[in-house]
Amino acid sequence: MTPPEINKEIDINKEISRLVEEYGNDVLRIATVILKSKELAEDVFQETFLRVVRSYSGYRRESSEKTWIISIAVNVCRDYMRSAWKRRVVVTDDFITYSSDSDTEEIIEKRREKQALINSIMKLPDKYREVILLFYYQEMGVNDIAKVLRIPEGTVKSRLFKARTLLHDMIGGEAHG
Amino acid sequence: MAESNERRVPFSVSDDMIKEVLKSGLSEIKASDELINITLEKCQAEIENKQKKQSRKFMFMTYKVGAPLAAGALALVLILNSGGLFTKKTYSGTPTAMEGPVPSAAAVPEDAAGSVNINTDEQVASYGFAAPQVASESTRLPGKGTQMPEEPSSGLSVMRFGEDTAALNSLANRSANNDEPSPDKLDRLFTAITELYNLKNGTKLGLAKEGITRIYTLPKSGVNAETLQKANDFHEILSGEGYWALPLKNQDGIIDTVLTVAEDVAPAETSVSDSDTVYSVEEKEFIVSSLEKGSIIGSELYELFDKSAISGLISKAGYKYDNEAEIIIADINYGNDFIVLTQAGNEKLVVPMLTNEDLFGVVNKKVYTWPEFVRIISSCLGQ
Repeated sequence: MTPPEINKEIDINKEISRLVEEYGNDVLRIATVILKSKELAEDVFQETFLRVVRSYSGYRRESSEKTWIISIAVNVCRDYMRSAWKRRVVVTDDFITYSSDSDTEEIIEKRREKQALINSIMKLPDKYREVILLFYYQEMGVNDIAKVLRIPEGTVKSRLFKARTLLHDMIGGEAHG
Repeated sequence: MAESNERRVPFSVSDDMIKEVLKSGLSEIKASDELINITLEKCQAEIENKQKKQSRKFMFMTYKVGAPLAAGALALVLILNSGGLFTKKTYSGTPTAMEGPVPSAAAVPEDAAGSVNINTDEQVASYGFAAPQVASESTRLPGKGTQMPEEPSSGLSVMRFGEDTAALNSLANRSANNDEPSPDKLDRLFTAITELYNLKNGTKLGLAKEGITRIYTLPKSGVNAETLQKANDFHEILSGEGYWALPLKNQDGIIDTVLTVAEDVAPAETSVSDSDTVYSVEEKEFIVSSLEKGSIIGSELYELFDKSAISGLISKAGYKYDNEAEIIIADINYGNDFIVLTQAGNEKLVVPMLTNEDLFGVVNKKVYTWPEFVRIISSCLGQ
């Protein structure tokens, strides 16, 4: 059944609101990690959903909604990243912090480890940070990551391996995975 | 934070730990209500614009009159080059992606003989010159932005063929024409950057000097339908800001890579993306990005570098192309979409070179007269 045009518009508005609510934070987080800038991430947030609006009618649900939106967000990030004339951004290594109040030594040490790890992740080259983010944070499968990044699955796997190795080198411990 | 990182002791990194660290660390990052509301407003406007576009097309079809392009006066100020979107960023006071600085004359040394030093870890390469020239604002190329923009540059940029790089004085909206650097100075700068690129990447590419192209950007406020319609010709919509594009050829004489070069005017503590490298030439820094052949941007740029291909398109469209005519190539969308601007006789022509054809309402690689182009684009912008 084809609803009247006016209802269709209302539906799209509602649908966009739902998508923003459902995936907005993911988009913002991904953009923040990839671009290392809260401000740019907010720009990406807006642009991502504008692109969602524009491509909404063409979305054929061949991939999951999440994969579709994350893919758009990653592409918007890449648009920003690949431009030599793009605005330079201040590295925000410390936008993810673990508070360290008066706790036991063990808890403080754990926090320190987490902080060191998140800092190391942020220092990974873009292509490794992307796969780490999608694999571990978004919990996407290799297949979906390959779709989002438009690279072969084998490349996703090798990047994951390399990313883990780099993290291991940066942390100085062992990498398991 | 960096300090605490230094004091860490080695520990094991497991999958679970990575996951947990990301989950907990990123959980604090949430879209604010303001950001959500502004985004939804923009989305709603976008949806309404689509509907208006459909209505307008219907009316035009029905009455078959030359609808006065009042649509353009709807004043939807849309930036041609805002991340592939026709929207002007308004949310964040922080500038977005685009800035189009071009190398200043001050950055060009008098003597190109110097030492080369590359620090790949920091993505910084430097080239020391024996006789550096003192920098001054007055020697900057026209439109060279020295400040971080408050808004994204629209990214309409211009590349020229067949001219030396110092003779770019004929465009409107330029304020420092008399102080442009000499071709020799630019030549030495670009040669140095090419050398640095080769050293960093272990390549032996040669600078295709004939293809060195200047790229300008639109005014930061963007170009709206009204501005387009009021413009007597394309010079009036161009800003003086921009960057340079340097085609590099391999040993077979084929363009292998295009470097975009923009003077780095950001504070020293800022970083660049992995796709960019900061090259230090004397005491000036330049952000250099290589557009690999085969990428969307690269493939379009490569075609744009072929002047004969462009003149062929124009001749094929029935225009008598003058080989001496100025060819301007404008980047209208983050380096993804371009328009070629030139003249045949008294006719001002525009040839879109797009990767996002649907976005602009014009046909890729079709030759339009300037009025035709303005009518279509401004209608598209005004929707």
